[in-house]
Formats: sequence, structure tokens, C-alpha cells
Amino acid sequence: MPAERKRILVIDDDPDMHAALRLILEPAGYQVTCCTTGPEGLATMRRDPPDLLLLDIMLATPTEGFHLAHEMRHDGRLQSVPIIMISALGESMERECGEEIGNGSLRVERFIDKPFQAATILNAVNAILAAGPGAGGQAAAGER
Amino acid sequence: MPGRRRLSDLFFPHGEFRAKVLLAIIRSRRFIHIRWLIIATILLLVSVERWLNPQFRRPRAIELCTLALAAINTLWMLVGRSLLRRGADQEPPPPELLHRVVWFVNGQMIVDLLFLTAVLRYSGGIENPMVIFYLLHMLIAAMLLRPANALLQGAWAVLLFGGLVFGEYFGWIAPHYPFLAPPAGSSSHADWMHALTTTGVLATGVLATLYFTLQISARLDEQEARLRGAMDALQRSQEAIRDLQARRSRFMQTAAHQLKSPLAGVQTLAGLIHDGVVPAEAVRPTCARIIQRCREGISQVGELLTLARIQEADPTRPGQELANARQVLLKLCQRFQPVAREKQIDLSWELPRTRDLLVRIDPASLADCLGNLIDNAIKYTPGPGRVTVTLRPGDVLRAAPPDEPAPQPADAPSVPYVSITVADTGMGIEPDALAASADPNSHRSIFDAFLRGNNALAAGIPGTGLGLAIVREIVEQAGGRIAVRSAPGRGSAFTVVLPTPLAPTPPDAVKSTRSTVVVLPMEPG
Repeated sequence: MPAERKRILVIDDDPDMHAALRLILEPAGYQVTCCTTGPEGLATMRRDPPDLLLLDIMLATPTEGFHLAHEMRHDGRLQSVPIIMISALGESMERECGEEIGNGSLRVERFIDKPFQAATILNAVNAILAAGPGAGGQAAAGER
Repeated sequence: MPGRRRLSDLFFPHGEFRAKVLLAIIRSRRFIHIRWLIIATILLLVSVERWLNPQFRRPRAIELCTLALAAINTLWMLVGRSLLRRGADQEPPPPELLHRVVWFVNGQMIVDLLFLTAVLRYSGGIENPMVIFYLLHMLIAAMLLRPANALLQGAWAVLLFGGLVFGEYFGWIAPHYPFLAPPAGSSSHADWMHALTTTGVLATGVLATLYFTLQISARLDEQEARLRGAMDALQRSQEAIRDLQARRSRFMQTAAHQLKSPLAGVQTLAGLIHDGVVPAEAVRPTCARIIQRCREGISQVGELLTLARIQEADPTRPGQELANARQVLLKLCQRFQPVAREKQIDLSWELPRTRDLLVRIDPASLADCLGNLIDNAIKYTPGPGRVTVTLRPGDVLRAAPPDEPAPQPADAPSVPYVSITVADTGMGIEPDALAASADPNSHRSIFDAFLRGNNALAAGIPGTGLGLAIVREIVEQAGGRIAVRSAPGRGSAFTVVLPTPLAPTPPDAVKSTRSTVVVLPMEPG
């Protein structure tokens, strides 16, 4: 359990995912903030950068999550915020879209498929936040 | 120089095929090669004649003419090479290059005809059967050049030959060199009957050759144009099919994801309960969420099926069914009244009482379309608010000419279109989304399936993102149009213009998708 509560931002248009992620992460000692849209999430992050972002890919448009991640990587204050992408898109499409938008250079710490289990989320979040900001990429290849 | 430009336009090769043939001939230097062959043949023939008949003295002039032709042919070779240096590899060939090529071919032909006449002059004139070579030039001219251009070349040929024949007859050009050594050589050049007949026959031959060849090449041109038109149409329809396939594929991917989303939500939440992650007091609300998601999933499947049913209809064969717009709207408004009242929304309708308005669409589709618009209006209007449904005869989107009176309800049966507007005082649509909807190439239109406004998402209003896609599909298939007016915080107004049985049936052309939607500025007030 972290000594000071780490802040996690969730951007997902599905309120059920907000509820599920709160149920998983809050008892583990994380402070969870949820946003429904990309612009709202980006504004929240710019006001107060979180320690980790859980980002849905399909928001108002089918690839808004990628665009948002791309924008973050070009924003000095947000470029080191680790990102876990959560989506029901499926692996191949995630990679395809990600490469298309970031020319293959878009750094995302991990992809997690919906539906997910509590342990998958917790393990990923714990691993990335324990490794420190911007260092979660090494763990990316492992579990899905 | 504009004058020269116009003249060369007159001679400009028509049809891409002919231009390509012209270019290919210049590129392969075929004319130049044939000319070398002719030069060699003339020199050989003169030598043979000299060897066979040493007494007969042919003047040196014929050899000098041939050598001059050789010099000019070398010049043509160089000109041809420099001509192709610029733009020859461009596809299609640039017009300037084709203009230059046409002038080049004309120049060669003018000089060739002149040399042919000069050679004839020293080898028997009228007696020499080589006159047939004038016709060969006419064939080439008629096939490669414009009719006016070919006729000018024909006139030049007749002038040259006529000048030679009558020059010799009247003695302006002297002496006459017989075709073969005397006594075999005749003196037909001094026979006026022969001179007139041969010149007449040649002129007729030139004219007939030009006429028939031009006729045939005109048919070929027509055929080429027809073929090109057919190919363009084929390409366009191929592009349309490719576009449709891409849209379908994108739609399928999105639909699959959208159907997976509620299921994923249900599985995740149920899994959390199962794994004991959800504390006891949160189990009931979590179950309620699960049930709600199942409900949403089912309604999404229902809407997808509706969309599939509409898309399945053959757009080239519009249905013969008619819907009574007034009745359909009345039923819908009555159906939505309790929902609106519950949200403290004043749902009112303004329907012409005098007559029923028939619309060329099947009643179920009309109800689907207008039901979605009314449902959206109520959904995106926070109470207390107002939703107004208006039915009017005529096309309210078309600006009526000042002298044409606006159609009155009493004229209803005589109008080709009716307009239905659903206006609300709700949250409105964001300018970005509205702008995307006006752009026919955007995939972020509010009428695209599964796209939802950020303000609607932020407000947590549940929706499938399929309602407006269904509306657009139905209106498109009916041959109608949609207009949107909206401003955030002020509300939205969707106007659907649908054809009555009096509207002209659209031609069976492929229906242009997306041009159905227009975005209009919000009315003041």
C-alpha cells in the first residue's frame, strides 16, 4: 500500500467502468477521479496531473483515446504520465490504430482488454506506480 | 500569342488515342525512317536507269532534290529529338507538346508534298505513276490531323500537282523530262485532255480519300468518347463501391465494439461481485447497473436491426407506400406525452387540421424517423423545457421566390414536399460536431452511427448513438433532406423535408449519401 495516496484518473464514457474501477482501486488505497469525455479529462489533467491515467480508446469517436494520448505526449507536463489503455477494441485493432496515430512512436504503458478482472487492473497499476513515473513501459510486454 | 494559339487549336488533335498515336509516331521516328528509305530508293532507281540506258541523260536536278530532302530529313530528326525533350513522358501529354507535334507533322507533310512534286517534275510529271503518293499523304493526314487541317493539306497537294501539270502544258515550266527514255516516253504532258483528266482524277482521289478516311476516324472518335464515358462511369461506381465497403467495414467494427461494451460492463461488474470485490452494501446498486446495461444492450441490438432493415431496402426502387404524416405525428406525440410530462417538458404539436398530408414513405419508417427525433429532443432537454413538433406543407428549406405565395394548409394536396420540424430548448449540439455534420467527408457527423456529443456524454445521458443514423438513412432513402439548427445551451431544431406523391421521382442515379444533411444558422431569439 502506498504511503501517500496516488491519484489515478479514469477517462471512459461508460459510467459502469467508473463504478467498477472505483470498486477495484479505492479499497487498494488509490484516489480515483473519473471523467466521461476526452476534453473534460484533458482539462482535469492539465489542472492537476495524475500519477496514472486509465484511458478508454473509444470515446466520442472510435479513436479519441489515441488522439488524447498523442496530445499528452506532446504536452510538457503530461508527457511522463503513464497510460493504461482500456478498450473492447481487441488487440490487433489497438495496435493498428495506435501506430496510425502516433506513427508507431506513441508510448502507452499497457493495453488491457474489456472485460477485465480486478486482479489484472490492480497488478498493472501496482507495477507501473511502484516503478515510478515514465518507467512502466518495461512491464508492458508481459501480461494482458 | 493568342492568334497563333487559336489557329493551332483548330488543328489540335482530338481524342487521347489520336494524340497518343501522333506522339508514338514522332517518338519512333517512323516518318524519318521511311523518308530515308525513299531517298535511297530514288537514288538507286536513277542509277539503274542510267546503267540500263546510257544514252538517256536525266538531269542532275533529281539527285540534288533527293540530297536536299536528305538534308531536311536530318533536320527533322534533330527537331523531333528536341521536341520530345520536354513533357514527352508526362501522362496525359501536356497540350503544348501536342501543339508542337501537330505543327511538326504539318511541316513535314508540306515539305514532303513539295519534294514529291519536284521529283515528279524531273521524272515525267503527269506520266509518272508516283502521283499515287499524294493519296498516301492524304490518308495519313486524314487519320492523324483535324479535318480542316487535312483538307488544307489536300488543297496544297492538288495545287502543287495542278501547277506542275498545267505549268508543263502551257510551257511555263520547260523543258519536259519524259518518265522513260524516248521513244517509250509519251508526250501526254502536251495533251490538254490528258492534263485535265489526270489532275481531275487526282483531285477527286484526294477529296474522296480525305472524305472517307475522315468519316471513319470521326466514328472512331465517337467510339473513343463513348468508351471513355463508360470507363469514367465505371471508375466512379467502383469508387462508390469502395467507399461503401469502407463505410460498411468501419460500421461493422464500431457496431461490434458498441455491442461488446455493455457486455464487457456486465461481465466486469458481475465478476467483481463474484470475486467478492464489491462490498455487501454495494451489491444491489451494482446489480441494478448490470440490469440497466442489459436493457441498453438489448435496445442497441433493436436499433441495429432497424438500421439493417432500412439499409437492406433497395434504394433504386423506392417503395410505393404512403404514410399519413399528420396521423403518424399525432400518434407519436401522444405516445411521448407522458415521458415528456415526467421530465417537466412541455411537448406541443402544430399539425394542419384541414387535410391529411401524404408522404412517399412507409408508415413504419416514418414513425421510426420522427420517433427518434422526438425521443432525442426530450432526452437532451433538461426539464423544465419545451419541445415543439410542427408539420407544414411545402419545402421550408427552399427559399420561395418572392412572387410565389407560401403554401397554405388548404393547398396541402398540391405540394410536392412537406416539412416536419422537431425543436427543443435543450442542451444543443457543440459547434465542432455541428461543423463536422455539414462536411460530407467527415466521419464525425452527429448522423454517423455511434457518435455521441461530448456534452451528452458528460451529462451522462444514456444513448446508443444510432438514433440520428437511422433518421438520416430513412430520409435519404425516401429522397428527402434534413436541416439542423443548433446552439449549445439554446436547443436544437431538426427539420425533415419529405416528398409527397406529387414530388418528381428521383432519377435512378446512385443516391448521393450525406448530401442529405444541411446545417443552418440558429434563428435569432
